[in-house]
Amino acid sequence: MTSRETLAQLKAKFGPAILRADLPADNRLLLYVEPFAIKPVCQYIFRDLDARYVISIGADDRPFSGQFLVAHDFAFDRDRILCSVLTHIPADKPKVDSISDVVPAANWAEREIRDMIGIEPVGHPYPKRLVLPDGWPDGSHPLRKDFAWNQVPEGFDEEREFKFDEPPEGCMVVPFGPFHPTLDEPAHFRLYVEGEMVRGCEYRGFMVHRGIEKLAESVLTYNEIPMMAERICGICGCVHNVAYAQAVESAIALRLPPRAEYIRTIMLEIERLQSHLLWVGLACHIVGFDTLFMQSWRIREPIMWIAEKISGNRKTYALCLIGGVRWDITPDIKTELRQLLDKLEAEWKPVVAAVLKDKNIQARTSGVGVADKTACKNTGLVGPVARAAGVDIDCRRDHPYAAYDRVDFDVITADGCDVWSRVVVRATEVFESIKIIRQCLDRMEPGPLQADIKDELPVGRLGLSSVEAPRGESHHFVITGENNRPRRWRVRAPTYQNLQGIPAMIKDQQLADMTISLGSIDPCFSCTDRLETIDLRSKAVKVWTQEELVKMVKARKA
Amino acid sequence: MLTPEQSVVAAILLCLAGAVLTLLVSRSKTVAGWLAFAITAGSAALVLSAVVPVLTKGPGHPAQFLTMPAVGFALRIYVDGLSSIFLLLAVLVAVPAALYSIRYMKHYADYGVGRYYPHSLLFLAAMYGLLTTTDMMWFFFIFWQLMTLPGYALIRYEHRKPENVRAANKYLVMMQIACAATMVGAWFLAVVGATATGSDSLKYDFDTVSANLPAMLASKPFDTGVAFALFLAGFGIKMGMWPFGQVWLPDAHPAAPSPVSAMLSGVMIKTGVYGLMRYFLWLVPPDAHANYPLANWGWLIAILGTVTLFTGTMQALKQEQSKRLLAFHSIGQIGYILLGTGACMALLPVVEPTGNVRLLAAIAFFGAIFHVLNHGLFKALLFLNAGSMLHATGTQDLNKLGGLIKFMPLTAVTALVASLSISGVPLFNGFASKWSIYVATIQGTGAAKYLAVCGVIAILTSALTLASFIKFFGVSFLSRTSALVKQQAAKRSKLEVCGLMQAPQVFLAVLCVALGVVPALAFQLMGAALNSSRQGFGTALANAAPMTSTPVAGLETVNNTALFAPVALAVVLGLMFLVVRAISKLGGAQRRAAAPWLCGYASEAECHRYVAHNFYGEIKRYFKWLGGSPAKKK
Amino acid sequence: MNLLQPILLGLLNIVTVLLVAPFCEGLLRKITARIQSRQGPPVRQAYFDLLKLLGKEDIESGESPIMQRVAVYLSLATVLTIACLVPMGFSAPMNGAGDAILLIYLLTLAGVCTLLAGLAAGSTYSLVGISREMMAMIALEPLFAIAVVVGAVHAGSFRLDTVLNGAVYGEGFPLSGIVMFAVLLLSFQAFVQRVPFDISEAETELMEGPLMEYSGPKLALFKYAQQAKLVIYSGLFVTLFVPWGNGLAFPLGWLVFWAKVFALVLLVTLVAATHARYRIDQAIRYFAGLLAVALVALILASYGY
Repeated sequence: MTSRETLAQLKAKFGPAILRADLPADNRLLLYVEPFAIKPVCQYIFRDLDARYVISIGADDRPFSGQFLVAHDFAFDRDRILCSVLTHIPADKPKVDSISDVVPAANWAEREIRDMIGIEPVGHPYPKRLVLPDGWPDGSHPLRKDFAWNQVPEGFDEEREFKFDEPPEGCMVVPFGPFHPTLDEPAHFRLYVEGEMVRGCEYRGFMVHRGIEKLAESVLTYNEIPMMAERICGICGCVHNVAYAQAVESAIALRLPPRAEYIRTIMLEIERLQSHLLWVGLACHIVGFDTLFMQSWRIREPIMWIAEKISGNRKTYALCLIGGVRWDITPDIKTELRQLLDKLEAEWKPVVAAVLKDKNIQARTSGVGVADKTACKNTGLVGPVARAAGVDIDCRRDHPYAAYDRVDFDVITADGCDVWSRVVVRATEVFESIKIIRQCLDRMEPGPLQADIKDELPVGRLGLSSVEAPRGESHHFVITGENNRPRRWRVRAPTYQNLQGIPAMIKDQQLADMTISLGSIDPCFSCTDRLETIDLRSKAVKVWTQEELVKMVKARKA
Repeated sequence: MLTPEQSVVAAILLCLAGAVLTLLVSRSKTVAGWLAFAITAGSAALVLSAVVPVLTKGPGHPAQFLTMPAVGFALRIYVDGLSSIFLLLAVLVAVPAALYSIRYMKHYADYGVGRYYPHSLLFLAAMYGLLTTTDMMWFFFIFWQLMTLPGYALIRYEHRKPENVRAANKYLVMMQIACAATMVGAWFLAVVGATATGSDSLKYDFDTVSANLPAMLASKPFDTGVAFALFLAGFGIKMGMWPFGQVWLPDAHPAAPSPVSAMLSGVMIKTGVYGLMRYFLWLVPPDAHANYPLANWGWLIAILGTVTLFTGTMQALKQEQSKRLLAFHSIGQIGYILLGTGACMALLPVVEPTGNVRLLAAIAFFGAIFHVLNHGLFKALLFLNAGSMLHATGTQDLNKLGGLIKFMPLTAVTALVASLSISGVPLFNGFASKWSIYVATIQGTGAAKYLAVCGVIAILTSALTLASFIKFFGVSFLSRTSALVKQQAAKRSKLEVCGLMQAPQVFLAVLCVALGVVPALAFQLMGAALNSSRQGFGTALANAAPMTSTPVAGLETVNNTALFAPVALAVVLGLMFLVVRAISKLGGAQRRAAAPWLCGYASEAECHRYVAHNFYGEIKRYFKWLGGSPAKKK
Repeated sequence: MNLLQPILLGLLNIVTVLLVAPFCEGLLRKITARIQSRQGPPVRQAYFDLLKLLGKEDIESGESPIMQRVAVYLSLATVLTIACLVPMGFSAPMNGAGDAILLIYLLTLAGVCTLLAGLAAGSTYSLVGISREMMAMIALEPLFAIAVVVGAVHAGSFRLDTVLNGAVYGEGFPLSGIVMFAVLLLSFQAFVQRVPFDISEAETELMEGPLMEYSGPKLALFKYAQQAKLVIYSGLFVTLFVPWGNGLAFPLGWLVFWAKVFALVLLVTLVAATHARYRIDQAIRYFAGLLAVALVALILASYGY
């Protein structure tokens, strides 16, 4: 089905409830509906048309339209359409029907809207605070336009403790994180444990205070944001950067020079290489297999070097600007990259062969952390987690961007639904990435790196973009705005959805499997925590000495 | 000077009189308590005055006190070495328990002591009687009932709790079945046997039956077999053998007040062991051995013992109530005693030129008897510990306890001693007796192939026991202070029990350590006991003298194949301890107290405590089929 | 009674174990590093680590610091006592003070100390680790016991000098002895608590389990005890199953013994470096399988095979 046919079907079903529909491109569908119709429309799209839920966005549109805006993004993967269902909410009554009971994957996103914008999802099954910190006062919403980026809310209470749910009968609570050897970033799980079995958990994350989205809407400019975007993630140096640039480019319908597209593709795949090798190492470390941990990191290291050679940095590549890239692949680098890929392939093959044969690793990972097709659909799981459950999705093929429509590659899937399948998928995807980079190197023609942008960017346009990050689909939503910066920029990293699948994955399995189950989604908490809230003491920039920190902690205890 | 038999009868009469007296003064808990203690101590002195001469100078003669030949009715009392050991155990536990009761019984606000002290004294009198009477029918019946009925009353002491009444009823029914089985067995031997050789006025007397047995074994092997099977069943029920023990024991022991639990588990179930040993090993005269399938009975008892020790301990591992856990361990530990006895019976008849196997049989018997003594001591101590915990916190639920060591240090130390003892840690008494059983069963495998497997299962079970007591001690005394304990500690100025309750615990703990470090004392005692009970197979066992035992050099089997020198071990371990302590001071590190780490965000709360329920989930899952899992809370 | 010889031999064993244990640890780290294409710390680093820890702050987090101290001291003390029960190139120094059954139980006691220490510290993670370690001990204690028992059955004696001298093979290599050799070899990593059976300490799950709350000198002692255990278990394995040449005259027998111990340490390292950690239920199932095999071996042994 094309986007036109889909629209026709929706119009036939809902008629006048659909206020307006925009088709900025063949593969985009923007649907403005009446507030009362939001739930049935989403249900129809999600269940009957079998679209994949991507994310929900709330925006404070009051300065422009006098209303709040809520959008639910869906992806029709087979039909290559990204769709956004939008509705305007009156400013004096910030309430919207929750879709979480029909689209369970929207659970977090709606809670985030509630926290950050203050739009109440009516009928939400679990309307608990998600993003805001423990001490943040109720009724204060940092992403509203009348909330300054450096404001400290009145009534902030350092002492306030988060009220967690009661554990089920017969279970004790094992706190897991924020400081735990397996977690490289802070997040807190309260595991309900009975003996060695996990019976459930409660998640309290969003502990990294950065406020990136707020900064983008209030301080930064279009071409500064990519440099901030690539710092969203701790491991991916260009996924968010590319996704943001593409979202803006999609909003203003800008075409890129082909060479820039190839370079973006190459960098994205280099990133996938290093990320997958990193993950295989970490997964091995989690199950206590440190030799493979060290070996895969050794194999990974030259990839970091070549990335540094291309961009000047191991991780933060500063690659994209709106309409192009900043770094070229020189002939020297091209040769070196080819050699590197050969070496990598030669080294990685025996590792994969060894891993695939290893009964020991299989014993620890088979049947562990199970998320089947239904779970993927309901929780909106993406990336290798979904592909390991036989869900054949990959944005590189389904929603082609950069030069992915010009290269051949296979989408690797497996059907074990467990951690083992995720190991297989990731280990094998490395070879596909090598293949893609080689093709790009072959086909790349000389040409400009940057499109010409002469005028100011148009205002109020919507842009959607999905990029297949190593962990899964990274989705960016942009509304262009005044003052050379977007009005609203919403980042949905793959971990945001995948993390929601964790409670089901670890339920009724051994406590020892918790870490590898969590590890198997390759969680990136910094991606998830990207917007949290602004620095509370940002006015007074201060370096805390250790003594002061200790004193502060002690004062809190007392 | 009284003869041993007269002393015992005097002790019984004193207890009976004491029962009446304590009933009269039961208005005052303190007076009744001290009176009961005085009487218990007095009777203990009388019993000791009987036991000491028997063990040092050899036994006296059976004494007859009431005779009614018409119905074959005679109170014939005989104190020999075997009885002495059990009597000794009875007084070693009864006196501390009586002392403990004085203050302990005060915490029952709603229940008087009118039904407590009289019954305890009757109960004690019955045990004295049952361990010394030679009448296998009427006086056996009288003493048995005298033990059962007050026991019933004591178990349903807190009769307003329906589960206690149910437990008591079960106990009553099982004891009556056991009584009937044993009496029918005696009837088989006495009546069927008596017609064979002519009647006697004391036809149910042990010696008469024993004299008649050779002829009966020759002519009616089946009837005698049935009789012995009934004995095994009867005493098996009493001692808590699998599968009978699981029916009543785990319910009855926790229901009773803690000092009574100590008596029930420490002494009462041992009367079953006494009966088993007495009937299977002492009843058959030496000239009838050819027709008596002792080795087969040994096989059966050793296997039953192995099953008992494994099932009892595995079920204990699942428990979350302190006294219920201990009760299941009573079953488990009885299994060790049965295994020792069975191994002894299996090995004793084996004829072999070196006499090595007979040696092992004797070692097995020593192990069994020693374990009777040891189990009596440490299990009584554990029940008193559980009582102290109950007294301090008002709960038996291990899930609600934690961190008690800070509030009850002395109870904690004694509980640790008892826990290490029952787990068979070297230098505590449980190890020495288990050691003997292992030596005998494993080396005896040459003569009875299955014994090594039984022995290894016993070693495995000892690890289970350890696991269970790591849990018992760890979650109640160590771990983190629970909400309940904090609340109780805030309510009262101190949780630790008073001196009157501490003294019995310390006494028993000291005995546990003493017998652990100097097990030779016990072995010499048991050697003397066997020497003073040369009847039936007792003679063979007494003659075997399998161990050289000296207090300092420790134990060594005569054939030099196994040895244990606890004093040397203690010295080395102590020295090493000091060395290690010195090493730890080398760096001059500063000590600091801090709260445990909870990953930096969660604050300490009751829900983060790893409670008893969580322990050993995997093992519990694999052995779910074995039963005994605590009922799920509604 | 001549006491001088056992005392001197005992001292020798204790001092040797104390000196060699960190060396083995250092060696193990170095070899592991090489397998992982790393440089690795110098071998002497293991000594420095212990010394450094001895001077670090000693944080006591439990309700009963005394219990924590006693448990820690006793842990290493027990291990050193066991060192006196093992013949290390000479006859066992405490041959006259105990037999193989005592040895089995002392090894358990050494484990119990760690458990008590963890319980006394009271951390949630420690207790999870304790529950796991105890479950593993339930399966492991009998495994080692059966090996010893098979030896005792063949030799007809529990004396250390008899059992710890290849007694499992009796006369003429019975099947049971060979089976037990295989069984213990397959479970050896568990006795020395290395990957794949370091379940109770699983850094990435439980953050060192029972040891989690320990720091400074206490941690040093625990680490020391653990390193000594590796040496002692290796020594026990060598004396039980690979006795050949141990009896040679000094210094040959002594050298042969230690060569075999180091070979075993090397094997432990290799296995640890090439495996992932098992889960507790998998480990228990594995041990249960070995236990079943061992019981069969025991039955074989009692029939003289």
